[in-house]
Amino acid sequence: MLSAIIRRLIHMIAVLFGISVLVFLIFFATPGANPAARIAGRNASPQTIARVERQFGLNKPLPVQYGLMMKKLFITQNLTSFVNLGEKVVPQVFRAAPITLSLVTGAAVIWIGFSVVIGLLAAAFRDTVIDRLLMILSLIGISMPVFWVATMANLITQGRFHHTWLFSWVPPLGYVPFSTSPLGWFKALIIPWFTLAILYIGLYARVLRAALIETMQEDYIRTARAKGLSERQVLIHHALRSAMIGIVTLFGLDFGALVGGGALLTEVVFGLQGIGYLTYQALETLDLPMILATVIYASVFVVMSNALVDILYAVIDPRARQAR
Amino acid sequence: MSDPQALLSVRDLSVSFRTRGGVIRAVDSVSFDVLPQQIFGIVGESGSGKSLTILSILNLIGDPNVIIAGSIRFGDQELVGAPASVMRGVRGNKIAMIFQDPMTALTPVHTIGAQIIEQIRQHRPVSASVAHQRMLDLLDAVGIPDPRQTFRRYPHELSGGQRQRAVIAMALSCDPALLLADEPTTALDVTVQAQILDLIRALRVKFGSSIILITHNLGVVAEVADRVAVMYSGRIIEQANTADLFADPLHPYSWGLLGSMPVLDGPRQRLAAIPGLPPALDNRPPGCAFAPRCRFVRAGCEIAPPPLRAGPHNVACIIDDHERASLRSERLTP
Amino acid sequence: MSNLLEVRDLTKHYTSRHGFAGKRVVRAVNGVSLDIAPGEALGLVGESGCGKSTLGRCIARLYTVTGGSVTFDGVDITRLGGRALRPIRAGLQMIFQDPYASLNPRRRVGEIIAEPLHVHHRGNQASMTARVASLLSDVGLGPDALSRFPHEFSGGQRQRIGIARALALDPKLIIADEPVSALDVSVQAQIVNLLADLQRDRGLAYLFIAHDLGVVRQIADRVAVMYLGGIVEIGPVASVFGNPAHPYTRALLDAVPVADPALTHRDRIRLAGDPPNPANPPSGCAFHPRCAAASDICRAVKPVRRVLDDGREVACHHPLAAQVDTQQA
Repeated sequence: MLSAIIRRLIHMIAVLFGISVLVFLIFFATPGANPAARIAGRNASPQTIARVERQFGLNKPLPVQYGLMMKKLFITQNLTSFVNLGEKVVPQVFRAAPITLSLVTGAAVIWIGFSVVIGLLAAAFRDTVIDRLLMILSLIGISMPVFWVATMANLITQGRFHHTWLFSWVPPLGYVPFSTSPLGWFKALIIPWFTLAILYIGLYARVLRAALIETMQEDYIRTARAKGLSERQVLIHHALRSAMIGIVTLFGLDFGALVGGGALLTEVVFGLQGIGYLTYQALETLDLPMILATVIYASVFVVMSNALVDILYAVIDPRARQAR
Repeated sequence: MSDPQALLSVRDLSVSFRTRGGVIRAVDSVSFDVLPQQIFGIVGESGSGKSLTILSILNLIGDPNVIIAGSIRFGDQELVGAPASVMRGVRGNKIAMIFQDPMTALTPVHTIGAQIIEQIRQHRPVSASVAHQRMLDLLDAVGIPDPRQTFRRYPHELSGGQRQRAVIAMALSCDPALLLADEPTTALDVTVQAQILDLIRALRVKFGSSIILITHNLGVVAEVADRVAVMYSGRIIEQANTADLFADPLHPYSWGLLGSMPVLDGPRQRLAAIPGLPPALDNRPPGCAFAPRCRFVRAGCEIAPPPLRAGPHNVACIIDDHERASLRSERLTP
Repeated sequence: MSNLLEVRDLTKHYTSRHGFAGKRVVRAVNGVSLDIAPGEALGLVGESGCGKSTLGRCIARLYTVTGGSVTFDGVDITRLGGRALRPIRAGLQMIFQDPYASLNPRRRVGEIIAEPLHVHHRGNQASMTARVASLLSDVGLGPDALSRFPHEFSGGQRQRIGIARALALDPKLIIADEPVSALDVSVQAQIVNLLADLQRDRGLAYLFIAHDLGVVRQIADRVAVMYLGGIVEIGPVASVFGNPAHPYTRALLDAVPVADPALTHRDRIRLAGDPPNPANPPSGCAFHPRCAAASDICRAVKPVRRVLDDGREVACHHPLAAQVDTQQA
């Protein structure tokens, strides 16, 4: 067990190292990239650029620059932004992370719950009207762009119908920390949660339905029927767990990507200053230290959610406990 | 015609499938009786309809396009067309099933103990601890070593033979009157197969169940069955007590099957293989389905399927007994 | 040197990762020696996991060999690879169990059978076409099969196609790995007869791997019985099957169900338990935990193969039927 965890950790560090080198090289070593000129601003004199180069250590050899950057990022944590001079990058990431985590985790709970119910219903009523209706609904959910859904939700709940009894509880856009007010946190996030979840509900429900229908062809399903179990028992006790294996793989990828900044559009429209929002701003101003920090943060989450998937595998599938 | 003592009485059973090209009949007018504590063997090659025959007893074919017609009487209960709730009360309770491949027949994500307890509690209103004890007793009865440890294992952690023992324990959990065994030893090694056949024989005595055993292996039937039906292309072509069938097989297909089986003693002879292939189900000849492969085919064979002759030794063949005796001596010298 | 194939001390080890338990060495084949004379059929029997398929694939050099040597037609092919192996392959062909999986579903049967001819540059287009047609008729298929796809054939016919492909280069040895075990009894008999005819007519040698002892008896001249990676008994079929010397051979024969109800209740050796795990083999004789005759020496010392006076070899400290005057092999 311990050796598996250590192996996993070494693997994770290797991935992070690779990603950080790649991002660093893209921004600092691709031909034409001139970070000093970018920091100094437009029409800066050569003297200014030279001063900036010295100040930020950009005249040193690349490996040294990389080392300095990593030292500032991880050890002293005093890497400062190139744009808002003096602003430290790492605390900003730490401020944004809980917002994104709150948003994505809540949405994930919703999308897993809803998609399992829809997938089960569709599989149980396979090829009937109920199945077709659910599949059309989920296709609609997949097709609706998230920024459009978010804007519509805002228009309805913040605008025209805000003063009706139905939506008067909706707080203004923005984030309320859980520590400040759990209820406020919940109210502020409930609409963003559903908005973000809609796409994944549709996607996961369809994948789960297909996986369930495939699992229902297995020999052990026939055994379960031969035992005298009802169709519902067969579906839930014998088919669902095997069918969830595919869902878990998807979930690991999606969750990691969203926490790493993929929830950008939802965050922007709902005024949630999370990681996606931060990355978006950094990219707009080409703020290299900030980009580096958010990308590395994101990759930590992707790698971590992969590890989480492996653990979930072992929980769901006893065969994976041995193989891994 | 049905034996009043029969536990299970199948009459004119047919299993058909609606397809785009019309209705295909995979099992055609099958009739047989299973007596209490009898082991009834059904032998046939793939596509002969033997699996569909026993799956239809429990309505387990699981294809929405299947049509089951005829009569399957179990005790005083008619199973063809019985409502789903009635079938659930029969399945696993009064009639239980053992499948071919124990690896795929057990749900991979539950321990074998949990799967057995699930079946007990489905049909018996017993407490968890009583069900647990019953499960341990069953594992012990089928010869699983150390049940108190083994019940915690998942199917993939057991050997093939142990898995099949667990499947059998599960099938026995509600003391079924009838066990349906679909090629129960085909996926197993020969030494393990011998163990499982011994077990099946012993269980008939210990649990008093009747058993329908389906196999393609004539040796397996000879070892355990009391009575045998030979199926070909959806029909029973010969049915007799095991000793009679092997001592005096009457149908040319039975001769061919026996001649195709390599033996381990006696001089080595070329196998008397049957030429050709069984007909496709949607393209069965109008007469005897075996006629195109039969060495002794004659004009009458191709008109209508020959009826199954009544009596203790049934055969569906128009060759008369006198001639058959001379043909048989011919078959012995290929 | 009259042997077509000589295998000496062949060993094949796998390393399997076992999760948290770390690496484990699985001794799939453990020091196997055997010979096949030209035109001779050697049967190789044993239960699943005994290493018989792995042995076959090592000899055909589909797998790399961990230790020992394989000499085919006077050439040591143990370490040959890639291009150097190609001329060897012409003389040593394989037939597989699953005719469905071993034929490319997108190629026509004519192309499938002609492919080895193309690879080895045998003849021109016209001679190849004629050769393919004659191969098809040799295995009992009509010329209409040429332009059809594998899925249009039944299992037995597909196995015939596989055999035709294996015969295309006139091999001296065919390694047949469970060639009939996926087939129905009546079709199995057709293929067994075909393989027997081909051996007689073409002077082929076989390494015939099967778990079905009856099928092996029908084809093989000699037979080797494998248990847990090693050969426990090898010799002429008549003596090994008729009068087994190794308790495992006896148990294997006794386990075969006989299609004669009069014989079912005869005196038999019944094996308990399952074959052991090749990753964790027992000490001494691998068979001792299941053997009724096991003694202290069986638990401690691995038996060497020795020659009995009827020429067969057995690896057992207490061979059955007490053949006298045994000598070290």
